[in-house]
Amino acid sequence: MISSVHFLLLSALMFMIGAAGVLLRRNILVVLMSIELMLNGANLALITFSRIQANTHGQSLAFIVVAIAAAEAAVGLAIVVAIFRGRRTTNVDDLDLMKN
Amino acid sequence: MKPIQFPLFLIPLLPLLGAAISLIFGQRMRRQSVHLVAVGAVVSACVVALIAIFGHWIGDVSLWSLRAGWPVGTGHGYGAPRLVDTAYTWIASGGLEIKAGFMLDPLSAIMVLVVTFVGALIHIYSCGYMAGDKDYARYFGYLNLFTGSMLILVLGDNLVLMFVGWEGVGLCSYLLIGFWYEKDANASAGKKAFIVNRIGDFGFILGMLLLWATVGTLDYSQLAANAPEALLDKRWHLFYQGVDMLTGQKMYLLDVQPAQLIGLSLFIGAMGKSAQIPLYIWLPDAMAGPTPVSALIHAATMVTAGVYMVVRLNFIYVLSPTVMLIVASVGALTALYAATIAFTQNDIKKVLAYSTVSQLGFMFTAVGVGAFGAGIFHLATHAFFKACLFMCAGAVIHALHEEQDIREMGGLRKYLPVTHWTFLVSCVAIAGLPFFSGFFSKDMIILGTAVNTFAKTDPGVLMLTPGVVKIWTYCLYGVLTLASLCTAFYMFRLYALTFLGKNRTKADVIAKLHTPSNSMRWPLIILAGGAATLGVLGLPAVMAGSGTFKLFGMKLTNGFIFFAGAVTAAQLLLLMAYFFANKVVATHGEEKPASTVWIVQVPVTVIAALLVFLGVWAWKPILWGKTIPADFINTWLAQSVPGRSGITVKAGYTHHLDVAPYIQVSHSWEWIFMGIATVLAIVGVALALAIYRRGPSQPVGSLVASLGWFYRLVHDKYRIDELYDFVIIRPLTWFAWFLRKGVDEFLIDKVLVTGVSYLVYGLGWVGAQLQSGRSRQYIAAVLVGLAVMIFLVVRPTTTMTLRVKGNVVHVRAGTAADKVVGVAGGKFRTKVGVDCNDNGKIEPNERAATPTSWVNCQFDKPGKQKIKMIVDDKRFGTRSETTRVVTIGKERR
Repeated sequence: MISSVHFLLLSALMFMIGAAGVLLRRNILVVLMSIELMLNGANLALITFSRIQANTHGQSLAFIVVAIAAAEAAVGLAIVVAIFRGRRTTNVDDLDLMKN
Repeated sequence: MKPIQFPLFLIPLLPLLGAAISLIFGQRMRRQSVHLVAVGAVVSACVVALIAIFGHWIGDVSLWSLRAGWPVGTGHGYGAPRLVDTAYTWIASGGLEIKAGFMLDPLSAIMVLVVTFVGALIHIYSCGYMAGDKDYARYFGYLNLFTGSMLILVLGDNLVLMFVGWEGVGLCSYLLIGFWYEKDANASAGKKAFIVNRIGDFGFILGMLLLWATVGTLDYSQLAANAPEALLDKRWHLFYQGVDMLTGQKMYLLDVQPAQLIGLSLFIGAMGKSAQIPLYIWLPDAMAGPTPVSALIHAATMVTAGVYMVVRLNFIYVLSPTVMLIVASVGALTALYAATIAFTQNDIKKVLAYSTVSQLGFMFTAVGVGAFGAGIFHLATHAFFKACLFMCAGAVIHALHEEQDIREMGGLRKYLPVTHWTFLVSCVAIAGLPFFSGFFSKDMIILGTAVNTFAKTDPGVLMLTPGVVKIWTYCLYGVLTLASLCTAFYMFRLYALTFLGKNRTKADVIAKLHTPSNSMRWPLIILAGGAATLGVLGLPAVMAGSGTFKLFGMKLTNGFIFFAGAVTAAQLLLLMAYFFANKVVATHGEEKPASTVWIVQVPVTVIAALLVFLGVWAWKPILWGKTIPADFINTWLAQSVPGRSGITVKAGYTHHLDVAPYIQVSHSWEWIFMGIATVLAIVGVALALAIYRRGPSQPVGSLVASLGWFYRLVHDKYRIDELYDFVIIRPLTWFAWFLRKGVDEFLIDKVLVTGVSYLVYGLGWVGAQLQSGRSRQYIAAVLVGLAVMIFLVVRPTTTMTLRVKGNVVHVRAGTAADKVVGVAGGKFRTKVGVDCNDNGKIEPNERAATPTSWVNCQFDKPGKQKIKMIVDDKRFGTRSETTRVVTIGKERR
């Protein structure tokens, strides 16, 4: 049947897809979306652990994570807009002012 | 006999002070002040030395007055009466303690007298010779420095202080030979002298180190006391090679006696300093320096340092007759070799230089066969006549305005009378014609080679039996006799070509000839007087005190008649020279001699008076009926050098070395040897005079032409310099070039220095890549690190936790993430098994239910038990094991 292992595998898969997206996509917005995906994967793992242990620890932590994800998304998008206004590019590779 | 305190430090200090003053302030001083300081320093050192030795009229006791208590010839050792003066402890480090101390014993007394007396005369001579030179002060500074160093050398009471003086005279020889350094040839000659000297010094240092390693001290008194014990019959076996099959003896790669090594190493130092084969090459080139320098350094003092060193350390050399034989052989070979080269030279100073090398060979032969007193005697007489010869040559060169080729001279006895007579006296002395000093000293040496035997030889490098050694010393006798013949010949060739016959110099040079000034003449006269009369120090036994007869009612010894005659002849020479010295010879444009000042005339007159007194004293026995002792020099040196065979080292052990001239030789043999020497000397002199009386002779010229290549070879000094250049200098120069180009420019500059900078640049470039500013790269790094951390946390470890309770051991695998592992099920489960009974298989009861549960091992008997735990991790597909040994019966946590 569908056991906890499958949930955890799914969450790991989501995390990895998100990680791959962060590493491999060039568009900032897509990167942000991938970050959201990673967070959601972590959330799923937390919920699964909560179910395994039959308590609500995981769910409460997931709650907090969702809130943080939202806040972070907002801030991140604000930063993207500010960058776009100045540089007119959404290519992650073009943002290398911190070089050396 | 206890040593007596005396302020001996004054003797080297005064010349060194003079050097300091001349070198520091010399530029600003007037000429008179400079030579006042310089000459005064050396003369006062001479006075102090005389007080130390003879001053029992002034002070309480002096070396001379202590003579009465000396037993003659009772072995070696430092029971000799001596004056000491220890300044301070110079080096005190570990087991080595060196004091800066001076010692005046009979041996160093002779050396000090020779150095200061002849040195003072040469300083006075230099006043006149260097009068026109612009570097007057520097010259006298160096000359004083040299004298001071030489005095440190002879007065030091330990080998290290001797080495200080050794190096000091080497340095001063460089400074003085290259005095006119503006010319390249002179500077090169100075460098050559110093470098060749240093090569010898390497041997000297090696000898010092070996001595310290074996005996543990470098002080002469302690060495004399301890060295025979420490070195006698001692052997060093190095590099064990196994056991010889046939004889059952152990074999070694190196089987040496340290006494031999020490003797050889120190002799290498002497080879360099005293110009023996193969390190003599610097001495002929050293004629590039001013002539008084040649007189001081190469006649009287520096080159005799090697002989002094061997005599000083005689107690070490007598321990290895092999080394003594080597010393004697090298000396004899050098004597003959240099004599043959001197035949062909045409530069007046070069002939004298090779003559010096040859005479040094005589001295080393003497000390090599054990006739140490004879070596020192010849050293003293040689100092006098060779210094006189060099200074006469200097007078000639000065008079002829730097002309040094004897083919351009001739008939100078009309123009330079004083020089001529003093030169003649010294030539007679060096040729060994009877009753002059050279005759007595050479006779003593030759007697030593002819009669000496090494009663016992040491097995070693050369496996020599006493019979072979005896024949060898006879061969040395033959070589020395031949060398004496050659000496007589080439010296009188030089004399004849320079002073006899018709003048061959160019007219304009003769027109400008000026005779030597007073400061140059008087030292010549005094030295010639010494060359004539110094033989009194070493009369052979047949000539003094043996047999008397009556003459006009006076009791005389037969030998003494001859000696009295010689002294009279010498005094007549002195008187003639005195008259010539004050006669005015017509010259053109002679400058006022720089030395008519009282500082020169007073000591010179005093010394001349002393010499005349000596001659009168020699007559005293006739007038008062007493005799001059024979072999005075050996008696004087008796306590510093072995006086007879037999060195008793330990009770019941005597190491025999029969040492000349205490060998009892019958009087007839002595007369025979003296007769042979005289005849050969007369033959040599007569031959040379006959051939060269009228100048360079035609028959000789055609003989030379017919010999062709052989003559050229000898004339070119056997091309040894070229050989050294080819074999040694060129490879060294190539090696130096290789080091410069290959190592310094390429390896160090390019590879190491520039390479390191490139390396740093590269590493920096690599590091800079980490900060690319690209955020994706940073995130990638974060994720990679995260993966690594998870791996480390989750991978299986095989730490074993043991709990021993009685005879049951509880075993558990520990992983970092126990709890997590427990969750995985099915085929991803990690399996843990414990092998308790060491049979290699995991039984079902030994399997752990979960990876973190306990497995109990039951042991029935106490003792050491081996427990193996196997962890099988299906997640990563690994299998690992841990083994622990547990001791049952002990409560262990």
